[in-house]
Amino acid sequence: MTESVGSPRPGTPVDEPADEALLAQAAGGDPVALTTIYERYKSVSYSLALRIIGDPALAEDVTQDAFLGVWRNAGRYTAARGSVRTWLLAIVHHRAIDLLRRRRPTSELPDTDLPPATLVVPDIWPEVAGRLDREEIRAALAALPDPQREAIDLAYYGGLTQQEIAARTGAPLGTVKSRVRLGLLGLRALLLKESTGVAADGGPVFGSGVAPGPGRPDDATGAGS
Amino acid sequence: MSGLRSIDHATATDRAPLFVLGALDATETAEVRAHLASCPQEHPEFFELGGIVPYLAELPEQVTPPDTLRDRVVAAVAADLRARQRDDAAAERLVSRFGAPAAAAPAAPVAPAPAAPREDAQPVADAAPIILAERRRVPASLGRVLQLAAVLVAGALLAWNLVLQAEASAARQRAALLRDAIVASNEPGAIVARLAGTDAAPATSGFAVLPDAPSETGYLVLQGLGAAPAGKTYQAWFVTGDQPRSAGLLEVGSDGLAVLPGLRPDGPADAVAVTLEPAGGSRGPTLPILAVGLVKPGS
Repeated sequence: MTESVGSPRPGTPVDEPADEALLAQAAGGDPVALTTIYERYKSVSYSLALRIIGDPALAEDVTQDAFLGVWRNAGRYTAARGSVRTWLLAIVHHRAIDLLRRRRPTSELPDTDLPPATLVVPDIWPEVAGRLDREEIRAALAALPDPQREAIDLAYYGGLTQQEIAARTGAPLGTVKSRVRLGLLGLRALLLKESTGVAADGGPVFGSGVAPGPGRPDDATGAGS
Repeated sequence: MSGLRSIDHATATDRAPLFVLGALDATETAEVRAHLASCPQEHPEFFELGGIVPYLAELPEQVTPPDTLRDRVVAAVAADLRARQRDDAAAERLVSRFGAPAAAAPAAPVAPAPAAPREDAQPVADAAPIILAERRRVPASLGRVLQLAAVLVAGALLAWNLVLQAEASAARQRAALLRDAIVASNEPGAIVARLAGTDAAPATSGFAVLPDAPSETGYLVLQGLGAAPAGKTYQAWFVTGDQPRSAGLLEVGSDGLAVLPGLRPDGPADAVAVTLEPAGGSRGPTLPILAVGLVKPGS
């Protein structure tokens, strides 16, 4: 079963149950449904945990913990929370950051460096051609001004609080907040340009074969808000 | 959690970018959550910025975990399911041990709240043990109900601009109380009992937060109870072993919620239960139990 970026998942055979149905079954107490969800999302979940934590054994712990959380909270999921995939990855992220912070006695900085502008493409590339792939997301991130990308990286993958980011970068709190906001809005502008639009749940719908544009966003301030 | 305060709309919006990335500390996060639960205004920024987060989640290089991880997940889920079944059995034993023996006909069920009854609700049989209604179901809609209730309270404030100062102040106090209860229940380590309605009151659900220090107090919040009939009142109970003791009387407010602050167990409690009693309360609970929940230590 291939895993691909974004939602919906056109690669799902029609006779396989949808994520929402599986989650409802899990909420009803069916452990096999949870196992099926695990098989679908094990790699994307583990990969996120590993990226944040760095240690494979701890990343496994976090992934296990996250799927247990999915099992226990399956009854709380509603479509208003986004796709099942998005919801699940948010659980993984939250638990990974939680572990990271608990293991950091002081405001010690994480070992992970900023991702380089061009990353090694993995050997196995599951996406079907034409769907937005990780390269395009990386390109969008690389297109951001350095301070904005750094702030997002330290926050999302590093688990630093805004105070810790400010201490690390030497920027005032207000500037940190502003960089994160502008960076996210910049990503939004870039990535939505690559797509055919926004899905009903507010999540991305990916375009077909649009070459990524690594140029700067048109408006450096992103969408006004 | 010390230093928790109520934040205004502008502050919440200002925190949106960091909130969606998980970069606020525990207190700030709780303050934002409490605000979102009780603020009637829209918060488009949270959705706009939050929409980018899934891309960030998908970005890392993909690595397949070892097969052993699957085994661990399967085992953890199986263990949780067994624990849940044990809890259900324990709660049922607790419920059936109260007051009169199970063979006695329980009191007529309380008129349920305006919410539609569940399709599979069974009438309470005369001699049947009290069946817990979907005890496993966590109150998934509680957050929305509380949000709606807070909106109703806030809406009342806006509409009643000629109301007496005392009444407006009481409504604000109630909204603050709800907010405090929600925040307390979400604190890490909170001792919470999730309350689920029995067949006598299947539309009821809520939670109780118990203090973890003798000098502090907790909260009980329940939704889905209709107003108590004349001459009657709802009463909450702490249960230790099979011994109940009163936790206080509950009143259903105009927002449809029963909120009881000042909860003081004065000792360990295994469960929290709610019954309908004569006005003024009783020394011991009267069947049927309307809602019950096992106390879970903080995690």
